[in-house]
Amino acid sequence: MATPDKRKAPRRGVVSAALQDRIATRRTIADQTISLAHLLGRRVLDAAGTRVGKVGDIVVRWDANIRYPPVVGILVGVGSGFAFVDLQDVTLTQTGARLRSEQQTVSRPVRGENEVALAHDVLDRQLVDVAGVQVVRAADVYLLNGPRGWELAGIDVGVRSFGRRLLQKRRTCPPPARAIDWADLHTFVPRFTDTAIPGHGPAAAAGIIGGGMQLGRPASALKKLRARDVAAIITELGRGQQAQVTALTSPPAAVEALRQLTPPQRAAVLTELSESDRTRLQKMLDGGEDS
Amino acid sequence: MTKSQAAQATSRSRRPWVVRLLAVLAILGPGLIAANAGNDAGGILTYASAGAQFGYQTLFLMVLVTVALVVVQEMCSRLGVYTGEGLGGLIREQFSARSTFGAMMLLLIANAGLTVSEFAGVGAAMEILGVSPRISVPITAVCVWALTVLGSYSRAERLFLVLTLAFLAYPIAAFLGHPNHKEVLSNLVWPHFSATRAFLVLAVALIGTTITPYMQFYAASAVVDKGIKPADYRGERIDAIAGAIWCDIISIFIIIATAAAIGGSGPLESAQQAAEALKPAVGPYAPQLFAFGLLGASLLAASVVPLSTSYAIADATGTPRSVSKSLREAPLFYGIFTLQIVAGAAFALAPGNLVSLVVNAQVLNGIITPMLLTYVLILANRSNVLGEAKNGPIFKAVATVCVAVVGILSFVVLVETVFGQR
Repeated sequence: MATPDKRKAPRRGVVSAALQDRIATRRTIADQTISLAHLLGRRVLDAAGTRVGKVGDIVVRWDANIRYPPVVGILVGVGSGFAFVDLQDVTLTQTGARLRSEQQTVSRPVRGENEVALAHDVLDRQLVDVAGVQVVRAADVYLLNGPRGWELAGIDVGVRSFGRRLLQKRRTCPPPARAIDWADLHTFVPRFTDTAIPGHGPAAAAGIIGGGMQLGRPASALKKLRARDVAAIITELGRGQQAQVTALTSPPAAVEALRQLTPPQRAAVLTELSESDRTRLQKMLDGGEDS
Repeated sequence: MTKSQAAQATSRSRRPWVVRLLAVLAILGPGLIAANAGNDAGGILTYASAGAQFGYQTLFLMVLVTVALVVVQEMCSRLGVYTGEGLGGLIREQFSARSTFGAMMLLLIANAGLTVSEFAGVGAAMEILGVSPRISVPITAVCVWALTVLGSYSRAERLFLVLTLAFLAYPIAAFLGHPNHKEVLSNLVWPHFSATRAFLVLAVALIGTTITPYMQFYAASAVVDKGIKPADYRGERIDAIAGAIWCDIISIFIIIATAAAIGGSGPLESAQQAAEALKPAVGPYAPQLFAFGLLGASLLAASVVPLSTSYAIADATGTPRSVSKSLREAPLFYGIFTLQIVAGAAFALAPGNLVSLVVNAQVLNGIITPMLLTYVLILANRSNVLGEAKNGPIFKAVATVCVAVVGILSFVVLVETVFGQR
């Protein structure tokens, strides 16, 4: 007769304690995480449970020195317009938002001073991943409910994440496929001094387009990049953004990176630089060539 | 305009004409190459088919198509110069995920059709030289894949480019073939359209082969790669316009030469028949010259077309994209490239007439073109993309009419194809 196995399999319908723990942990994490792509377009209810609009965007306060920008409010799409709701007047969940009491929507420019609308300014945009030394596109943006409240935690650059946005939204928030911590990223945010253009959707209230973007973080991480990495990054970026990254990297690395570009590409980057940066880098380029 | 921009503009206007001409010549390239990419295997056989089937009747249409091509190529170059981004990336940033996916799928289908026609072109050319397509097409597919992935395709590209010079024999043949000059002129300046389904389908094929989605993506990326800056846009604009006009002049000569040689003989049956048009220029060597030209044009595009699809889709999905990356680093990029080569070669080997396969692939391109043109038009109209360089009111009106006319024609052909044969 065979010896019975001491590791008894749990009976059908009975969940082991370890598994229960895992499920509980996952639920806790899931409750504290929101995928922006998953949340966009979902219902915004008032305190009585009546639908008042849909989630149009999430707004964070932009401070170059904060590692994880805090969420300050949401943009609620009402008809063809948008209204801003302060975060303290709304409860965010994975499946929508609920106003805490009546009359909290504010008619003001949808994005104020030093604020960035994530769906418009970050989702699908090019970002510089300093840790992975690459230019990526945000397929999704993740918010985390930390000790200081909801904050921007990171992005997902996986193709699966992008693919999920094409399908019907699930009830639960999807886990990120290829996440990058926000602290490792450099993004381009609107210049907050730009004039508003009426009638251009949620983002336009904060900035003119085209040329209105600036690198939104201190350059310390960029300064550590090697010339080869700088060259690889700037060739992937769009016009204007190339010059900003070049200007913020260490001058020897920037000059070496410029040398690795073709002459027309180099000229295009130099043209976009400020007068002082251009003169400084051009002098270093010429000096190197002379020697 | 800032002071430095104003100063630059003033210094530009004071430059002597020789310097200005040299500046334009220095920039020449991307637009010219992009537009000439239209004269690939699909283009050559479709223009020849137009001449064979309808004589000079499609010439006025080609004049209209030239206007549309100029407008489209100019918009794409402008988008590339002012944003420094390719169309794939711009579409991802400016449209929803579903619209981006839709655009990329359309591009994939259109370019897959083109890849089929390039391999069919290889098969047709090698058939003239006495090699069966069943042997030439698979070998070519493996070689194109290996050369591109191993990174030595750019060297082979120069040889293919030289082979395509064979098509410069068309303008000579068009003059030596004694076409009816009066009829040619009359068809160029006045429409002689035929109200038949065959004419309509061929018209869409001509549009599809001339204003290919591939060229639009290529034009934007090429100016980015070349680092052309907004300050140099005047030169680039001339390049885009000159390239489009030059490309269509060659196309018109192909139609005239074929019409003079075998016009009115019905749909083109074989590449050998198309080579007849070159006889006035090169005599008995016409089939061989045509075969070498067709082979060069096909091989030139057989790698570039699938490669440009891979670049655009990887750009839009934000995944690694470069032939310098390994297969493991860029699986999507190489996956799409390989899929197109395999599918292109497989469809080209399907039994049937290679020329009609090529023309049908151009019809598919013609149906997809207006859908992708709509994206380009919206992007070029948006001030949040191009700022002050966005389409002005007149240009916007002309571009909208071009896209609308191409769209209506394609829609009619689509409806005819789906419902007309019941």
